[in-house]
Amino acid sequence: MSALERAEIQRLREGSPWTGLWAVVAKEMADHLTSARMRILELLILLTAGGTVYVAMQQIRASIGSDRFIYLKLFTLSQDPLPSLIGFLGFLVPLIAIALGFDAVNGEFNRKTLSRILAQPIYRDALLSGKFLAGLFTLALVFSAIWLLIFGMGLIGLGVAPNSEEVGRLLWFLLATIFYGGIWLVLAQMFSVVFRQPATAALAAIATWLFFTVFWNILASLLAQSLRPIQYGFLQEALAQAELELALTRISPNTLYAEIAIALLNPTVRSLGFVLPFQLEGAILGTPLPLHQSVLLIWPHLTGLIAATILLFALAYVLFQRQEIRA
Amino acid sequence: MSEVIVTKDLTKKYGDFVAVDHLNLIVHKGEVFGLLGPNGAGKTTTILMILGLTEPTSGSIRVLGFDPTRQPLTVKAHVGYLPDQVGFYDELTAYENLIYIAKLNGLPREEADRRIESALQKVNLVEMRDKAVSTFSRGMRQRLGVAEILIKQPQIIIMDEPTQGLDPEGAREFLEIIRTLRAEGITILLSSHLLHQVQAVCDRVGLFHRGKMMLVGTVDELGRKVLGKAFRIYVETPNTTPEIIEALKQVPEAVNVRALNTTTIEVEATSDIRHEVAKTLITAGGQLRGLSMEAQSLDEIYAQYFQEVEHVRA
Amino acid sequence: MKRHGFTLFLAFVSVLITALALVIPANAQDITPNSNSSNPILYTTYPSVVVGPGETISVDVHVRVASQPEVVRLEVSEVPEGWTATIRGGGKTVQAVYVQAESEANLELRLDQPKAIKAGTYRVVVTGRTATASAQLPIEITIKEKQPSRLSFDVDLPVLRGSPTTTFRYSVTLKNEGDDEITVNLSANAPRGFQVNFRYGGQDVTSLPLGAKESKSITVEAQPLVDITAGSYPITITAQGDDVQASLDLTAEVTGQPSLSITTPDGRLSGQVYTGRETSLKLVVQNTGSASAQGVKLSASAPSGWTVTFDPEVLDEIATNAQSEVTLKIKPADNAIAGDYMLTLRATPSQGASKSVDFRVTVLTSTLWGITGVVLIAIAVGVVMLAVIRFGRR
Repeated sequence: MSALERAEIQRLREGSPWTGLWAVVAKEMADHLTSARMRILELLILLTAGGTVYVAMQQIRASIGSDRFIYLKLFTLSQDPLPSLIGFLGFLVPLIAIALGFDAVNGEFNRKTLSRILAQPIYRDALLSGKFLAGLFTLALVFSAIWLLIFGMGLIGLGVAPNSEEVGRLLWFLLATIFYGGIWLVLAQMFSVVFRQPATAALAAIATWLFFTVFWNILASLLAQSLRPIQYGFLQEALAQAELELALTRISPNTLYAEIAIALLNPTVRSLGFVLPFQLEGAILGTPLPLHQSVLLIWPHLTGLIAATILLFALAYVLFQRQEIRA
Repeated sequence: MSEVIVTKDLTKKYGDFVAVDHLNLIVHKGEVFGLLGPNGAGKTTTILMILGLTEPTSGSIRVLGFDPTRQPLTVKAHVGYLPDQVGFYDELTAYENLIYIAKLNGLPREEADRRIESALQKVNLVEMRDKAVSTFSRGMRQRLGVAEILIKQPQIIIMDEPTQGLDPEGAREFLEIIRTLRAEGITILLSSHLLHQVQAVCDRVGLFHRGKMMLVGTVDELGRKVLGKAFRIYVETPNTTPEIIEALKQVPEAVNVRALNTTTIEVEATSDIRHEVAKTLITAGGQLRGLSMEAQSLDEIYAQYFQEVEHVRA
Repeated sequence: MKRHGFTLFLAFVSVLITALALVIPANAQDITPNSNSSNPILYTTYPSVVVGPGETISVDVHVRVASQPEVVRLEVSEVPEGWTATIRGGGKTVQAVYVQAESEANLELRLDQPKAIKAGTYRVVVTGRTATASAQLPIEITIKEKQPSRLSFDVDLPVLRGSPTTTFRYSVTLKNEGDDEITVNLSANAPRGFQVNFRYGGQDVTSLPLGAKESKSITVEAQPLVDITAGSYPITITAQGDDVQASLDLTAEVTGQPSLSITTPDGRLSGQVYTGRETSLKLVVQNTGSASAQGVKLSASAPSGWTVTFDPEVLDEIATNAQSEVTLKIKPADNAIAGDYMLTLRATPSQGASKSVDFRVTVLTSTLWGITGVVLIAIAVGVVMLAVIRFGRR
């Protein structure tokens, strides 16, 4: 039977492919939120958030300024040797996301639960989608809780309520953080479809993360140097090379997330690319951008992260759908 | 509506490999049908196709009048499936495992609770309700698997190698459960490569080999068909003559008579005809030194049958 | 109380002794007239003196004797009532003087007028006696009538011309013609739209003291309000003494001047523009000056790559207290970065001061990119939907 015929049959099938989706989501979320694995990670991120925010608050109190955006400072201020909260989030988010997803499908295989679940009146579409949504919702829940905790700490420690601009920026940042997690979640889930051993899937996901964290920037630099060499030493050549390198590094979700953090949490940041001196002529430096402009600045990044998450999910979905149930 | 599962020329190919080859299977309402065959004979593939979990390459299936390829959700809502390896979420309790299944079946909470209680009662696991499944023995898991099936109150239950890996006591208990289910009027299709256990509960049996159904019938029919030459009577006589052999051939129900050597004659019969054989031998002037009989069970025939086939294949 | 009584008693005693001392020699002189001695001669250079009331009068008195030295006793024998007369010599009050023969002694007669005195001629007689003779020196003192107080103003340039922004400064001399020192209050009566100050010695004053016959130079500063219309404005300044006053009329001739301002209909000097897109903003050019502005040219300084134009570029005339609407068209550079920029807008009339204003422009990036992102996500969702159609429901 050709793939086309199969597609034809599937098209003629009755019922929604999402039957039972919410049962899967509810069960998986309950699993995530009660599993020892997640408890450990939640504790870890709670301690980091508490620690970095406390340190940031000390610094804010030490320099009593009329800063409009002290709540943003809670995320960005750091004090040696402790990195800032966004520094920690950069690797804690992928860690949590991978922990949520690396045994999604192969775990079901190994526990021999898959065929039993699929014998229920649901399509297998619901299973992977449900696991993906449950992971995403768990990430949203955990990070929302962390955000609220930070707001709470700020209210107690600083005695100032966040202004609407700060709340808006932090909500957008929360969305970005959730989808930054989402991309690693869906990658881990994809590996859990591909690899039968959860350990292999986890390792593959972490290796991918390491690749983007450590090696991709080096590789991007080398690629840019070889693809756009500086032959005559013109400014345009150097600019072209630097722009290519920037574009290449932006393939990495880490870069995207870091840039989102910079633009959203530092309202005075006007551009994430290269700025030529003449572009700053007449500019009033140090004035914050309005929120919607900061959001526009990171819009390609944010939508890119979301789209990449969805596309990776599509890939994982296709891989899972094509698999034979019998192991 | 007496035929609940009907397949017509059902074929499934994995590339060049033919897993199921033009299978025509009919399972009647309320019967226990045993699908017998060695591992790799295509039993599991057939079951998956009946459930709509795998698409047939050609041919058609009707389960309760529904087409599993078109209406898999309806089919799966009415058919319970116990896979060959029943796995549960070990960290969850029996109840939590079952409520998940109930939710997947779209049952409202109260109805689900009611059905779970009654199902656990039927499989004798009420006291394990809130224990984590990780503490369960293999037999208990198997029974929990049955409980899970009962939640959806199926019309048909399909079990894939249900007694595999169970100790004799566990297997006996399990077969008892199958009898109970049958008594409730549920149609059961079970696959096994171990005939002797299935023999006890199956109304009809299909012998499956290399994707083909070799023999189908009730245990009696099958026995009769196979047992047509299943009784072997060995007559020891010092003087084997062609007259004696001719005389023995005249005995009704004697199928085949041949001299194995000068002192032993083998009589293949469809029933125990030792008395007639002895009488005929003596009437024919033979001396009876010994009379023995091999009453071959279905099991042996089955094993022997597939052994032969293996040889042929090798 | 007791002690005061005692002091009073002592003073009475001393006066009694002094009176006796004066009486005793006089008696002696009378007893021995012209015995062995020459007549003393008393004279003064100016026997008739005119003074003002209250002034202390000093008259020189010279004493001579003829042949032999003599002690000449001196006495003010006649003095108007209330007057105090003392004869002084060598810095001391004296009653007698020793005069060498053929020489003279110089003395001073000091007279103190009583507080309340009327104008008129008074007689004072000084008598000198030797043992044998005596001589009299009459002196006539005329107390003249007191001068009445009078104030006068003097100004060189009573009419000044200037624009509404200039300060009109008049140099005025105020003189006290009288003999009394007076404190003068200064006030001005100016038309609406003027603020008048008096300055003396670098300070704002409202009153100042003037001694007798003294004159002081005061600067009168008249500051018109900017929106004053052209015209001639009279300013009257008044100096008011105790019961004398003087006033002076000054004139400020205000010439007209346009005064431009640039603003927007809602008064906010900021706007939002999108990169690479021309945005029109409404501007209002106002003339709050006292003359109409002619040929107002509008210009702007903007970052390079930007296009800033005005429609119209030149406003032919803006009447006083009138305003004209101008459309400001801003097109930031295509590669302008979002954020705040400062433009300087300038309105230059053909005559008069130009006016510039800082205009804050917030450059926004087009939301077109936002739609691209949404399309990207929509495509991703579409891929998932295709995958579901193609591979779904298994």
